[in-house]
Amino acid sequence: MSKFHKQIDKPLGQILVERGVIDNTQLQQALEAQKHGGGLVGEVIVELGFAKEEDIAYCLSLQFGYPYLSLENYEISQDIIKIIPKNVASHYCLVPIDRIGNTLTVAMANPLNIQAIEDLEDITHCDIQIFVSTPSDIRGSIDKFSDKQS
Amino acid sequence: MIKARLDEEIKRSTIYQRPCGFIEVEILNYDDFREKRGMIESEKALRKMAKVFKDALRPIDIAGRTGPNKLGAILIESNKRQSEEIIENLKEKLAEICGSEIKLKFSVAASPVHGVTAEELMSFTQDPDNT
Repeated sequence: MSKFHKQIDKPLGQILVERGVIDNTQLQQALEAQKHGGGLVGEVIVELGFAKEEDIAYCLSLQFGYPYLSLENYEISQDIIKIIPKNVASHYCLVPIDRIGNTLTVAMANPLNIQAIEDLEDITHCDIQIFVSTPSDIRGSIDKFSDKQS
Repeated sequence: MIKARLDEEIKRSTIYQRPCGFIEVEILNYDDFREKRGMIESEKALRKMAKVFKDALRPIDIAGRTGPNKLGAILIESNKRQSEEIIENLKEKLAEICGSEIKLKFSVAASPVHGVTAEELMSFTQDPDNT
């Protein structure tokens, strides 16, 4: 298991309430909406307009000490993007951004997804260092840079 | 049947950005065993194996027969590493009841690493190289 990632069992919704991003009533509304419509709680909170993607990413960054990275103007080289298969990157909403030696730096929307990090370790045989980014930025980067592969 | 359930579970796990594991155990010498011991004995052996197989899984996992000589299971929200741990546990338990007479092949596949459809995961486990 990577020396960079942390085992956290607290649900995202509870973290957002504790950090004051949303209140308890909004969380209950989001959980109710999730029960009926499905989806990730973070996405539901954004859809309901209770917080922005950036608020959630920034909150995760502050709470757990993962650096926040905006990918808007970030260039990812072809050598790096192809380290993680596109279907895996899309599935877990993450994108590789740099590699130094045996350490692969990855931007993730949900840095608490330990199973995703384990899969990355198995695929790449690298230690995984995590940055937090927004789902939109990550999906944008996957589309922008993975498409150049073909 | 299990293929349709696997497709459903992969779709569900994709929505929640979770993995989905699939494992399979195949009796390689099932035909020889059946010829030697007869249909009733060989089915009895398979049922005994199926009980051990099911007992090694969590209640939420879905087990079924995937062929005349194969047992498979969908491991809900389990990644490659977690699925491999279950297979290792199964290897020990099945070795205790099968001895050397029954030859087994164990295989593991997980979404999204080995594929994103039931077809892809099942093809991966059926590949002789992926044991």
